[in-house]
Amino acid sequence: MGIIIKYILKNIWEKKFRTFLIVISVTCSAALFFASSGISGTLTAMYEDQLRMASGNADLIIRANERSPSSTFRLDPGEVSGAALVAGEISMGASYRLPDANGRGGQTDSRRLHLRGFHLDELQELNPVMFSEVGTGREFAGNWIILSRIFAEEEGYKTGDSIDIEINGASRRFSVWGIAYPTGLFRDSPQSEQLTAVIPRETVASYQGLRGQVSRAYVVLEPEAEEAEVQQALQQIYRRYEVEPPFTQADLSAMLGVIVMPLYLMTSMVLMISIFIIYSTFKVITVERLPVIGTFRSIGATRRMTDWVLMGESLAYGLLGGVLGNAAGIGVLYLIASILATDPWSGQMDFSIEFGVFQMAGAFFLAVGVSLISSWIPIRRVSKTPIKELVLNLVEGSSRKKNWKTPAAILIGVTGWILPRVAPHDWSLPLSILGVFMTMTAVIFAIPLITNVFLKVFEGLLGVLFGNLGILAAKNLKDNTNILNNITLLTIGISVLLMINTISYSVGIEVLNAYRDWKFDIMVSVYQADRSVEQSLRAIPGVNGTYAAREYRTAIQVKDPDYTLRHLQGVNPASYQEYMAFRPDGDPQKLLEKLSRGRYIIVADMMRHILQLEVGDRIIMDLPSGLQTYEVIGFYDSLMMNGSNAMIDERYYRLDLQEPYPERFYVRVDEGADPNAVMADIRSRFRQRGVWGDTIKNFEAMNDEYNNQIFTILKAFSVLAMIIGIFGVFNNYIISFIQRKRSLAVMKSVGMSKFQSAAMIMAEALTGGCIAGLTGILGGITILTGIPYILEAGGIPINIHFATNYFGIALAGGVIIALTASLSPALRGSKLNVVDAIKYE
Amino acid sequence: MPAAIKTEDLCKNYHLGKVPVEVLKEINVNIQQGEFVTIMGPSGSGKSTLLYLMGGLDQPTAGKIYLGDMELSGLTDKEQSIMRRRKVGFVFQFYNLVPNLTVEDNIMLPVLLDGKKPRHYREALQEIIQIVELEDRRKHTPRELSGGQQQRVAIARALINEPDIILADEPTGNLDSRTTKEVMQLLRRINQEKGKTVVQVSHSLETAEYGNRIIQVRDGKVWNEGDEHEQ
Repeated sequence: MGIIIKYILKNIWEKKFRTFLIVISVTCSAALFFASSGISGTLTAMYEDQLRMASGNADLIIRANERSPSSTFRLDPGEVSGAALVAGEISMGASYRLPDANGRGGQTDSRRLHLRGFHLDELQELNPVMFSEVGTGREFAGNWIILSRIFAEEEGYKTGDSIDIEINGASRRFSVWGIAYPTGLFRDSPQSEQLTAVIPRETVASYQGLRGQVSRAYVVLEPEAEEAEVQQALQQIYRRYEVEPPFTQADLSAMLGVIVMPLYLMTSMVLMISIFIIYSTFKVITVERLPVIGTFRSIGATRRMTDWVLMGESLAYGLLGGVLGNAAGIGVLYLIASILATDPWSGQMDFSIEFGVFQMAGAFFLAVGVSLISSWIPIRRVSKTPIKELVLNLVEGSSRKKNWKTPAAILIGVTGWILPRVAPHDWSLPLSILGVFMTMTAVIFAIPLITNVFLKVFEGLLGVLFGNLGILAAKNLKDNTNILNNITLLTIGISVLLMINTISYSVGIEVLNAYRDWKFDIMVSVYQADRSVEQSLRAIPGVNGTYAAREYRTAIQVKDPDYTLRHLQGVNPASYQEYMAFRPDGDPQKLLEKLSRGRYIIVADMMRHILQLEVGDRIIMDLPSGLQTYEVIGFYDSLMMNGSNAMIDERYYRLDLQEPYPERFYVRVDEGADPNAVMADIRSRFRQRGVWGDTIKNFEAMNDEYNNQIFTILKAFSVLAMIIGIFGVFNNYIISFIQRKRSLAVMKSVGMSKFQSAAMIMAEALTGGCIAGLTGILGGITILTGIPYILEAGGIPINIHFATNYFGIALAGGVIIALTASLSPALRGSKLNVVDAIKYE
Repeated sequence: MPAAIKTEDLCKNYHLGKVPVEVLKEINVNIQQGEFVTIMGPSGSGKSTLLYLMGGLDQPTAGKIYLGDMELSGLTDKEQSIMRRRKVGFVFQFYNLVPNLTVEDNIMLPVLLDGKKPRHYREALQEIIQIVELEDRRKHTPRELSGGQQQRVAIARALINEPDIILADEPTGNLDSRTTKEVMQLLRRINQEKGKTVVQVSHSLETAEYGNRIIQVRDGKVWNEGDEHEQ
């Protein structure tokens, strides 16, 4: 046994590049698996942490919803069994006027304050404030205020100082009770202009004329209490209010699915490359070991013992890759988490990576498994070879033509193409993913056929370009296993890169298209915006026109058929099209006119597809006014809320959703006016009412930034896949050179010069690179035709837009990689010692 | 008329690790055009090295080699390559065919490397394939052929460019006796009917008898440069 281990270790040590290649493939696969399986936990913890910052230790939150009689309520003085703390909060908007010097380019001369009213003792139990400075001996009541340290330092406030704050248009003077570190409620959000300050609860209530009322209450449970029981008890007390946990695992899972699913997809692609590299490398290893295996067998080693020599080597690579994969996985996980922690909407989130034995063991066993399974077929082949053939070296290389590959490619390809298209809705995600993998496998199986067809078609062209050397190069490429392996590796790598970049490009185009549908410059939301608000908006200099948008973004349960509608608009048929692009099936104006005549609904194409709706169908929605039946009168093209959207007339919207105020305003500015300047004026005008909004350009930029975060990670994964593939290609070219040394020497013996030798190898590389580029493009297109089905199944309907320049880059990339990888073999080939290479068998 | 092959004080040294090994020591041989010469000697005597030096596959440490009036040591890599395509044809013990090329492609290899149009060689190819009796194997790859057939392909390859000299390194060393006879008869036919100079390296007196002269090499020296003998 000792000898076998020594022999295995010696083999591994002697072939350093090969060892590096296999170990790096296994390591990357394990690391990406580790990161993919760990990211869910890490992000859950990150988002939970983020939510905990706002809601502290609360297990349940009581708040008003659209069915509540008021936005505030009185806390019930009675004790609730199982509730350790019920902390009420009432909050309001305010503003702090900046000294002139701090005005931002003259556009913003004040900062918005979110004044949160708490009883300090309750707040300390719920979400402890960490004070950097605190005034002692004073009760937290009346006009005291707790500021964040960042704000206090920026504006030069200390404990005991006075600060003037504008509340409901009047200036109020507060005294600084304490300065809080930027954690918990005071967490810093660099992207948000709003600051948080805490004042006594009764003070906020009195400013709003709501003494004794709260807008929400945070409930902390006793350690042994059952959440569901307490929730039920509270629901009985606060019947018309919502009693829910701060967030549910289902919400988190839905949010994480968008990130985790693509990561697993990319890991699978990297795994595919690794399996291929290990399989092809072990084919070479087993051929190399044949004489030794023969010797071992001839002196009495059993088949199992010789299998162990090879399996042992494979196991060693797996073990090493597993350990390194775990270490690298922690790094990758940290990197992904740090990228995703920068949220363009809400700022930088704190994060710590979360992983456990499951991730570590999973990555480790994946590494060992992928190594053992990938090497098993070549090892099994040697194991079955009779001793005589091993000893006499009569084993032929693996150059047998695999005639089954073409029919298999057709069968797998056709099945893979059909699967996503016929998959039932509940199975569409797994079957679409399977379909994409099958079509990719079909392309890989078809590579020998594609190569031969390409060579047949372009042999003449190669002859014109490189003379007889081109013809020779074409002949050498036919059925050359190593070149086919290279083409396969490059094909997978290029396909994956092409896929990710095309999806990223498509998302960019779709986002751009979505924003182009918005024919206005600013979107703004004002608290309880009645008609006077719209009139005031129109009076602001630079504002050309406004549209009061009624949009309901809280999930609406569609009872029949069963569905969750994410976005419902109440449109004004007269002016809607002036502000929004509307692309229905049929005449837009006629459809909108019909919409205003009753409880009619126009449904987005994606929702139509999912619910299999037809014109004339009726859908029942659970709306604040109760169950309402709407008749479908048409469909329109819209990807708003990933296609889960519909529109009804604004009159019925107001009635059925019981929403008197528009959710937001679409604002168009005069030609030549600066939307940023107009937005600043709007902020200034409505500062006291509480205003939210931005220019469409800024929204678009933030959206782009958010999308780029995810695509940065996916692109990094695809580049990694490509890098492993490139290592594999370099290795294959060297193996190919070693195996072809004799053939090259023969050619030299019959008159091939050094230049001709190098030129022929380069011509082969150029041709191989072109084929790889083309098959990579084919693979990429094949995957991309299936991707919309996967995305649709995942609830992200995106049209794929092909960028022709990516195809050019893919082709050039294939050629450049192949040419670079063949430089060393070309050089070594030209310097080959003919006698040494020919003389010894 | 100059000799087909002539060597003058030809020396070849190798290094086995750090140990210098004198393989050939001041070899002087003269082979006339149309001769069929067999170089014989024990293993390690330097006979194959001598053959490779004559064909320009290896470089001498000292001394000169003439093919006709062309002195090899002064040739560039390109000139040597052209010489190997046009002046000599090699036949090796292990055939040394390119495995992924067909019989036809293997035979045409020197023509392709010489930059000539393959279509101009259709007749020559047909004739050679007939000589080596491989008409029904022209589209086969080497692994689909027997040892004797492979060696005949190698001989055809050596002939396609109509070289003056055929150099064969133990051409029958890997063949059975019946095939050996076929291959040797073929070489003798090429020598006699086409007037090619044939130099073969062999261990076997039996195959040496197909030629008309034997050069004995022992310990890197020509031990006995035999006279022409009766066939």
